[in-house]
Amino acid sequence: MGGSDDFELLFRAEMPALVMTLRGITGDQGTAEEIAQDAFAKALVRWRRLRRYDRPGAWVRRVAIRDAVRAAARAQRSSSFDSQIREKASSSSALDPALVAAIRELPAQQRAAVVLYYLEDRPTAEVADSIGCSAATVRSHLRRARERLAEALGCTDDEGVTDDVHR
Amino acid sequence: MSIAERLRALHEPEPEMDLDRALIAVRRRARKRRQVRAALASGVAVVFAVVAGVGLVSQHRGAESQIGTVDRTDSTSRLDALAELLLEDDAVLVVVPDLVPKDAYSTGETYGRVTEEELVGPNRGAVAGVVRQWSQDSTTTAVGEAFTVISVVVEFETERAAAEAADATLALLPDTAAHLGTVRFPARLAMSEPGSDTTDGVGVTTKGPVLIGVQVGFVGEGDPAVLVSLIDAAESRVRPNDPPPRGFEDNDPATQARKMASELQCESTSDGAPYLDGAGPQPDAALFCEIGDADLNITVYQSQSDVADALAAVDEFCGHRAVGANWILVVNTPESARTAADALGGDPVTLSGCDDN
Repeated sequence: MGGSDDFELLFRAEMPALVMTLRGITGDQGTAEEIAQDAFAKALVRWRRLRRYDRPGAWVRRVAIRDAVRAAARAQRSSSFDSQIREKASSSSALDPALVAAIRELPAQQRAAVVLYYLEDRPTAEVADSIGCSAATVRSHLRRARERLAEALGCTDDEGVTDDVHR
Repeated sequence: MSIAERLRALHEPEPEMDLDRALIAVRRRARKRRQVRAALASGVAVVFAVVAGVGLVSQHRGAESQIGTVDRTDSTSRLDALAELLLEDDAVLVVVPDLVPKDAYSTGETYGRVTEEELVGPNRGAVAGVVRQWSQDSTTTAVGEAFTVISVVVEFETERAAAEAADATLALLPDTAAHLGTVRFPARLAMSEPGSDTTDGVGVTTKGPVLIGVQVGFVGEGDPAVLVSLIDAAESRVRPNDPPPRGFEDNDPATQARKMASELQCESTSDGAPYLDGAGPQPDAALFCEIGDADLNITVYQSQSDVADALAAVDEFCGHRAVGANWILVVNTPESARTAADALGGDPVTLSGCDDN
């Protein structure tokens, strides 16, 4: 099978899930697609090398998640961000719109940690690798995120992160 | 229900996407990236300036050139582009004066690391060192001052090369002073790791073949301009002491081609001659050589006159070659031609067709 076919297979297999992850981090479908496309473009440029990796999709995923965290951080620094997330949260089709809205107000790294750890069941080591920090920092992000979410939602945080597989 | 339980119960709907259209967009983006990389490798700055909108001063092989213009209002995108550049290419850089306004960092960000596998590429032999890490971060001192820390880690082939690069970096400090307003380190810093020192100023230190360059821009009056210094000045002083391998011509053509591929550290090879060069005399041996994203081609001819004829057959085109007594190496850039010529004991050649461009 040619390299182009390999790449297309990877793209079709991984793109939807990647966009969903990035949407959780950035809070926006369009931004998520942009970032995912850019990550795949980076992969395509160096595909001859990446295709020999055991998991080239993991490379794409890591690049995309880091880009998404940076994009989210930049967006939060912009003055219009608060109104944007409120508007998007109100139209969310999720089962728990209040929680989704609260997640979108978390700092970017905390939000990424929450999305990857709780929504996608990724172990802390993988979360750490994806967002470029230590596992200890991931646990700290998760703890602070839960505290902020609890405060925003008017309830208590009664769970810690004690191991890599949380379920 | 606890926060954790509510989080685990969240189910976002699968995105509906037109994957065919998205794939086309990906391929278009990839083409643009290749153009940028090619432009950077060949020193053509305009494409990069158009695509990234970044102002950089590159210092390469002692020649300094201005790339693009600096848009002071969009520091974040410039930093992103710079980081991307450092991560995607094998570091031909870099002096970046006056890059970051004081409000550029409100949170620490790390741009990532270049992995070992990403270090192999067409420019690897052309630079004195490769970027191992580039990062920016912010920190706050005990008295509440916020500092921005920019650090780069570059690995050279030899300890001497790293030391010379450090000297060359320090030689730039007078320019840095103009941007920072103050320079506290007239000599090499003793730092255990990049970013460990939070005093304003610029410094470099070496650990074996590794150079660590750190700049700390203080957040105060005026623009805490950033200088990231990465120097390839050591190359010209170190490389002549390394005896270039020669004597490939003493072997039969196929063996010669294989030995040349080995010397070039080709990641993979396959038999075959380049399309354009097929217009000239047939080579006795020809190999495609893959190094990173670069496709090179090694052709071995029977005689020097065949080499001359082969070059004449393609001279109307624009292209770059390294040429030896009985061989031609087809490369993508003048820089690669010089590097390969140095490595193999030949001469870099730019075909006449390039003069028309």
